[in-house]
Amino acid sequence: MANAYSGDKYSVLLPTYNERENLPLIVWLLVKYFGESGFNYEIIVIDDGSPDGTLEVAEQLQKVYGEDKILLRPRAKKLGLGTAYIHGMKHASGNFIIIMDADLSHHPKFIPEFIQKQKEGDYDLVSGTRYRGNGGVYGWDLRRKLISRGANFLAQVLLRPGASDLTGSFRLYKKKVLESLVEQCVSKGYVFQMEMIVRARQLNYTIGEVPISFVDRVYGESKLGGNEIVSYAKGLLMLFATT
Amino acid sequence: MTKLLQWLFGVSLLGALWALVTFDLLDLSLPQTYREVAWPMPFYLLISFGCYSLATVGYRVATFNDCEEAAKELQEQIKEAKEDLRRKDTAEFSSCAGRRSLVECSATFEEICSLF
Repeated sequence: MANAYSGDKYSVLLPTYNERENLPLIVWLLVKYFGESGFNYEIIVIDDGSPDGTLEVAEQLQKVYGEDKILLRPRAKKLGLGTAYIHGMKHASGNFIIIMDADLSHHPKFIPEFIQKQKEGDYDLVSGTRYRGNGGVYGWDLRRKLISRGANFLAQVLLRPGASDLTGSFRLYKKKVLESLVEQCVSKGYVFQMEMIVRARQLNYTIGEVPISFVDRVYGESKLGGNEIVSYAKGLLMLFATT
Repeated sequence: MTKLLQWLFGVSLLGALWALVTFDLLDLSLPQTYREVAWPMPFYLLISFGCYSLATVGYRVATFNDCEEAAKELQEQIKEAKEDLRRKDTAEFSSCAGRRSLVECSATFEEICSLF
């Protein structure tokens, strides 16, 4: 198991809110793929006071998989992604951080590919992209795809960021890189992830890409509304004017 | 320099060049054809960019990969995970009668999976 001796450790940050049902499954998948690859890892669950008892489930998972593999860093209430990352990183013992969604839209099978890519070019960050290679999405209708591609095109024209997927949140960072970026980023939601990439470019960090498949199973419940589009546009203009 | 400033600089430069040629600001006495071509340029460029944008976004939407296999694979793995967790969970909690099992929490997934 050569991978375990390379000295690298990967901390997976899982911010959760009402993921009682998904959490056991995502953890199972993470354990499976990390186990098969032999890399050293830990999973940090950052629950924002979920009313559905996600934290209780996380505690049970700790008993099944061990407290060295599943770490709990809960918070009292929903406080946003940026602070969740900062909070999670404080006790992370890995030298690499993986951020991803806990709702099974991101599949852990891509993590060994991220790691491989990172080693190839010693990249400061590796971003999962839905828009290149055989990356893609399941569960989106035409309207959603149009909005997605249109928004991405606009961001490419205005920001020329050097990465194909700006709003994606499945990424691998060197720990010190994530620490320095999170301090600087002020936005929320989609724009936060965009800002991270744009600032990474500003600071001359190197970015690698790996095509990923994104399986959206909540789209039916939470359609992309006018509010989100407006806040995206505002965020984009803010980045355009300030970076 | 921010992207906004880069754009303003670029647009000003091109704008100055265009005005120079179209309105003959430096009295260069360029041939009439130069002026005739330069005059509608901003309009042509905007239209071209508009067409390029529509074509690019259209192409990208049309070639957007639909990950059917990924969805199926996920569904399979969810089943596998629940089985495995059921086994691990029972072994762990056989002595804790009142504790809710991990798998009970995932029970509603059968409902969601049946929608696939």
